[in-house]
Amino acid sequence: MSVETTPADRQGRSRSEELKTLTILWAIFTVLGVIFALIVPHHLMGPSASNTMTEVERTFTMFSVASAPVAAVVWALAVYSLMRWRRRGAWKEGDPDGPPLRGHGMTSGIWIFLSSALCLFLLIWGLAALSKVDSAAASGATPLEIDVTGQQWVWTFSYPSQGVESDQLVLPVNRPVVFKVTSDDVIHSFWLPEMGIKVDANPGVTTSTSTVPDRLGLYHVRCAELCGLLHADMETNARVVTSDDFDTWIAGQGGHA
Amino acid sequence: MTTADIYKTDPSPVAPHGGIMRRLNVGTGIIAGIVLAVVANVLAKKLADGHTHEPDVRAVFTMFGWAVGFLLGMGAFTGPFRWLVGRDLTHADELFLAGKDQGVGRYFRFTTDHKVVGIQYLVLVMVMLGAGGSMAMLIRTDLISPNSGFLGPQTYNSLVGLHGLTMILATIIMVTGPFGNFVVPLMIGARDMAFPRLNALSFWLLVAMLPILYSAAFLGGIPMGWVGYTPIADQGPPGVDAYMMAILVFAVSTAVAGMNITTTIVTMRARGMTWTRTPIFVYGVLASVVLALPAFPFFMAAELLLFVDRVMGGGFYVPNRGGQPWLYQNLFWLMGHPEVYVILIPAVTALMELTAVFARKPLFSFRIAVLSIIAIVGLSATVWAHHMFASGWAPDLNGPFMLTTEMISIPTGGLFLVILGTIWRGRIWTAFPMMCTYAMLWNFIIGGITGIYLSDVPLDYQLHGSMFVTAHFHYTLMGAGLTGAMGALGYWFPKMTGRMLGNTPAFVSFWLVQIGFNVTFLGMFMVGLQGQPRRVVHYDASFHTGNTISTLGAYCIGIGMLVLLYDVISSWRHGDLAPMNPWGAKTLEWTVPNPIPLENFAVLPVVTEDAYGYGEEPVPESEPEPVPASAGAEADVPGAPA
Amino acid sequence: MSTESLVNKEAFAPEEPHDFGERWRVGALLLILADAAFVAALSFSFLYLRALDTQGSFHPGGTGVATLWWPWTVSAVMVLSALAYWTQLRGSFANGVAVSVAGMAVALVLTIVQMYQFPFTVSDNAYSAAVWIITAANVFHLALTVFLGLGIAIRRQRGANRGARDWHVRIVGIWYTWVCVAAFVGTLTISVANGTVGCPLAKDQPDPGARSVPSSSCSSSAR
Repeated sequence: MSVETTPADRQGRSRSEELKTLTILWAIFTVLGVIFALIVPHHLMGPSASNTMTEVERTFTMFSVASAPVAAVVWALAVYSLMRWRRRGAWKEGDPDGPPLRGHGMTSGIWIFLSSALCLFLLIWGLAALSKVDSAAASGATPLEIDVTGQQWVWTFSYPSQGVESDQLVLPVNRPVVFKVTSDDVIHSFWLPEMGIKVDANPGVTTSTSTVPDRLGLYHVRCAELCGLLHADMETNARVVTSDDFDTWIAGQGGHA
Repeated sequence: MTTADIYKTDPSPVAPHGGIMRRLNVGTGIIAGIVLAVVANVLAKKLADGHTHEPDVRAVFTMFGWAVGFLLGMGAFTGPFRWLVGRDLTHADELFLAGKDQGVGRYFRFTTDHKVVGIQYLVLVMVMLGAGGSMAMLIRTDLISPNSGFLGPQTYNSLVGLHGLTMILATIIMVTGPFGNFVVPLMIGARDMAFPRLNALSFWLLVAMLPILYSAAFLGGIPMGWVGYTPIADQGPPGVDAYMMAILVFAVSTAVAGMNITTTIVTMRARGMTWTRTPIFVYGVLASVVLALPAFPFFMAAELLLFVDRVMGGGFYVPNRGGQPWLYQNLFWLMGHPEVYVILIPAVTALMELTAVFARKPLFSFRIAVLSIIAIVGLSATVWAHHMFASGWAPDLNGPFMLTTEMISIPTGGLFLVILGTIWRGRIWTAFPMMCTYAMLWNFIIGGITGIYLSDVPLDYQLHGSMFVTAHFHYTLMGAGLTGAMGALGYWFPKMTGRMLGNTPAFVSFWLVQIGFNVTFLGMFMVGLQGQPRRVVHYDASFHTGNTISTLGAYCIGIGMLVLLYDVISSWRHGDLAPMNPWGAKTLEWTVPNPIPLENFAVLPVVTEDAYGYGEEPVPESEPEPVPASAGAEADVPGAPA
Repeated sequence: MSTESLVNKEAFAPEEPHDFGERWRVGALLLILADAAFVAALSFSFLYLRALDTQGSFHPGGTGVATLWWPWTVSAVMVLSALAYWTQLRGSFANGVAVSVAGMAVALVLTIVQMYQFPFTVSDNAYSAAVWIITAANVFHLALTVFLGLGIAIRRQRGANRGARDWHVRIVGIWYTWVCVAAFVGTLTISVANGTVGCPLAKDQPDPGARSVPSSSCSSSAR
């Protein structure tokens, strides 16, 4: 019932042909993967509103591009094996077995080496991105400090140097900002999705995060840690405005610039 | 004692009506459980009348009373009691406990036979997956549109938590429970587990746990998701007590089962089954339980501290009394990340095992498979804090934890290499179990790659707590783990039930589940990247498309799972009778007849080579067999005059 | 592992008592491993909370500090009991098992009395809760130990420790040793925390509303 060639025949078929087909499959999958990686994540994450988010999107795209050939290897092998070696019908007693291939030192070595190298590359990339993100706010102008307090289920933003408190977040564009985040009750998580920053708001301690907003517009503040009944409603707006508009807003709130 | 002795039906049914033990079953267990629960409740009322924590004290007492009473009524404490007073169980007692000549009734007793326990686990896992799956359907229905209003926020939050917890508990036991108990002793050529009574105990503890867990739904729900983060768990309703008690019971069950399976594998392998001849699935189960054994006590400790907080007003997690929620997170994830591999490793190794059979080839590079498993086990204990990158716990440690986390991708790649190498040039029979291997290759590569994104600290700052994470771990735990368990079910179904799993419904179910699965969670990746947080009952209109896609996909999974359920039930009842070795596999479990006799092997096997000798020249009969490595007594040579 | 060539038709012989014993011991050691993880988790919790001293409230003063005499005495009694047990196994102390059970029972009672004597209640602060739970864990260990020791004593009386079951005696001995280690770890944890509890943490603390991470632990400030 097996219409396949015998093992001897298969041995006879040129190995280079096998590798050629595989390489073509792999190349197709890789190209598709890279195209996907270059377009889709960026499209979904939307235009970035801060230097942090730019870095995040760049890293995401980079990782996707780097992993496309890896996934392509796995999928190419899987698809090829189905095309080439799939048995028609069920196994029966006495059917010939596959070749007794118990390992192949070269293949394993290359596999481990490549995956280690890739891992090392991702690690170095990640550490570099991390230090960039961490040092973002340290550079340039004096950072604007904002105290963020989460409580069930609202955010409060206070600008200590300006003496303003608000339930809306207003940020001047291109000025580093440091958020000191805490909570009055349970754990919340302060998330600015368009700016790529998030840090938990823990009761009893203060955590901090920072970024430089670089795009005018209306964005969101969300809570990313289940914090009880109205967790889904714990969101507010974040507005990035020009420096002048910011001063006007501060003045309007009764603060001093 | 020979098998003939064991299986000889006594002409006079076992005479000694020795004790009450023979009258106990799940009915008496439930009665005793309820009685003790009521007594404990009344006692707690007296004890804590008017106290601040009265509802919690009463809830905890009642649940504890139920668990102890149920086990008492099941006869779980008979053995220890008889040991204490120096009247050990007799051989007749042991045979009774093993379920000899008891028919279907043995499935409802404290039966120690590993095959009975395996089947019990299988049913329990299916019940739990069904419950968790139904909750998932409700959740997805609510999320079909931005403000569906299908569920209220409290119901929704509780459902999210219970769905998560149910599924995590079910997936932890889904391979090591049914297949670890049923198949592993057969696979290593043993007559039973090392500690049969503890085996039964580990199962019935889970049965005791389920009512406790689901009572949460009637006690105000759990407001904090399955991770049970504090301090929101401190202020929650008595439903949180149910969560807490369920975890405590589960942790005991895991410790007992883990110790039992480990001992069985380490000490009871057949003569000649050296570590290099041990099938890879046995390694997978061993790795899983060895990892769970020291990991779950951390979860248990975390819940005990929560217990002190909630029931006695302690301050472990309350900042203004010197407590610290980060403590909970550390303890939780010290268990929580190893637990991911507790779920994944046995599922993947089950697929490796069956891939060798369905490709008719030896497992590719057994050594890399074993080393990868060992490396994953070792590394998984060092990566827990990557769940806490965004918690602000210790920003300086984020770099090191990123390092260890990304290193895990190397041994994980090794697992892929083994499966792909086994497929290479194989004579691939794409029956249902093998299809699951292919599905796993597809799903796990996506789950693995998205895991690398999350291990990267800056990316994690953005993605943590979003739907992206939800999609990622569903890809690993469901796409790889559950798919692996389904493959294992299809593969070992003939041995466990004596009947073949119906092919056509399994095929239909496979495509429905896998397509539905990918649609659901690719949609979820989409909204995660767009910025939708996890565990929200309603969401911004901009996430509508992705969520609708997800929900439709989820329905597809639901239908597929129902088809599989139908297939399992109908095949189990009147499927084709299975031959002894329908797949032509070489592991020992296929050398025993269907149905499997009580102590499995008429004669304990002696192993002279590993189970993957496909396509290799069989050892000629005339040649002397190699001497088994671990033999105590001398091994007989087949073919030599007996 | 094909059926034919591997199944040896007459290789089965009943297992040796030694095999059973080894197996039981492996199982017991694994359970002890799990328990050790549990003890480690409790110790870690205590010291972690101590080190963070969140909001300066780990032990803000006003309530008592657990005396160290009690836990060390209990530990000493436990060690002596375990020694008594092991000397009987070595054959040089006829009633060692009985004495050890009595000793462990005394330790159990002492620990329970200790819990009633605490100069604080469990709900005072994180320190009090941590001391309480570590002591409670010891109570649990001791209760189990008394059960096991009692079982061995009764079984010796009845001559039930025959054959493979003689291993029970040795395995319970391992458990005796382990509970001593666990008690020692717990006591040491309390001692370490106690030794640092009196240091001037509370007054250095910024008030809880302030925006800085409370970082001072006892080792960094003057002791």
